[in-house]
Amino acid sequence: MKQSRARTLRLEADLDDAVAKLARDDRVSISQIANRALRRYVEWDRAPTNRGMVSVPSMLMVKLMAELSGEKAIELGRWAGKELFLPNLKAGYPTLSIQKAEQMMRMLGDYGGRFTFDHGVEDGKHIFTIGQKMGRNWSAYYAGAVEQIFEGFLGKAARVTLSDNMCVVEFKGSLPH
Amino acid sequence: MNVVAERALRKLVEWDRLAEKAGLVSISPVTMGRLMELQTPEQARELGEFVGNEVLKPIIISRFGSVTLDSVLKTIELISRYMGRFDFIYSTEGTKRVVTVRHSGGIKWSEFYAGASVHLFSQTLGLATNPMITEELASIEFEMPEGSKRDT
Repeated sequence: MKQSRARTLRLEADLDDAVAKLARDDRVSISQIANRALRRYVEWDRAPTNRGMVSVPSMLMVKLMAELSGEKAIELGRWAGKELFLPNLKAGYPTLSIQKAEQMMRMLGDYGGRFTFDHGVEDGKHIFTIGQKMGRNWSAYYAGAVEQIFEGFLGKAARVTLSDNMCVVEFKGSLPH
Repeated sequence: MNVVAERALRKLVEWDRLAEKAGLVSISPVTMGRLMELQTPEQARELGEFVGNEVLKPIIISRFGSVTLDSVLKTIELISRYMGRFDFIYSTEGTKRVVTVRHSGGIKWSEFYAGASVHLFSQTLGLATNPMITEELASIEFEMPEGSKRDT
């Protein structure tokens, strides 16, 4: 269990009421609500890797991507991997590594709401899985992005398999540091 | 510490829960810009109407219980504060009202915002509106009936 410290806060009355209601609705303590809000705030809202991110309806993302060909979606993903993901990763972590990239992917998955991210090892093979619900072109987009990211770190292409709601990246060998 | 905690908690209760229910996700505005650039202006406006009906209206009802001028304005204000994509300006003079969304996304995003605004103010609230767009803003003008209650 993580170590905890006690803090005293003074909240505006309307906020205190809203937090108490949320705690009642979720059947958790006010401390748990405060921990959740603060963790999200420091790990996501204020993280240098996520500055400038915007919230958009997933339905709009589906519609915007639907018009593209699969190849165009992969191309857009490659561009995003090279021009957005890697420079933003460097903004948060001056020394790049595949472990840091994995940490950022996990954070994007946990807080960004666009996908789930998982990393497992089977028979000496690393398997990274991105699960999402916005259609095949978004799988193609992530395939393009991870292709760029992994090539940047491994110096060779990883094997990418995609479906309507998954993008799976696999390679044999140990992860470089 | 108190200020940070208050800000984080306010965002959680005012926005994060609602955003989760409405299926909002985070993305780089540059990627969004690239995707929007592939649309024609007509498609961008239709997308705005679609979002007005399928996303904004349910958000307004979920948060405020009904779609009124007041709840529409409060929702746009919330979205402006937490979604990080535009500034919202509401001006009043006599019976005249002007709702303006100022952004840096270019003309297609203006079409998009105009589409969403027309859907909410004209089609949903039944107001006779006069929309206007430029590269960096979409605004909508309408008249409030004489003697109507203050709306914000």
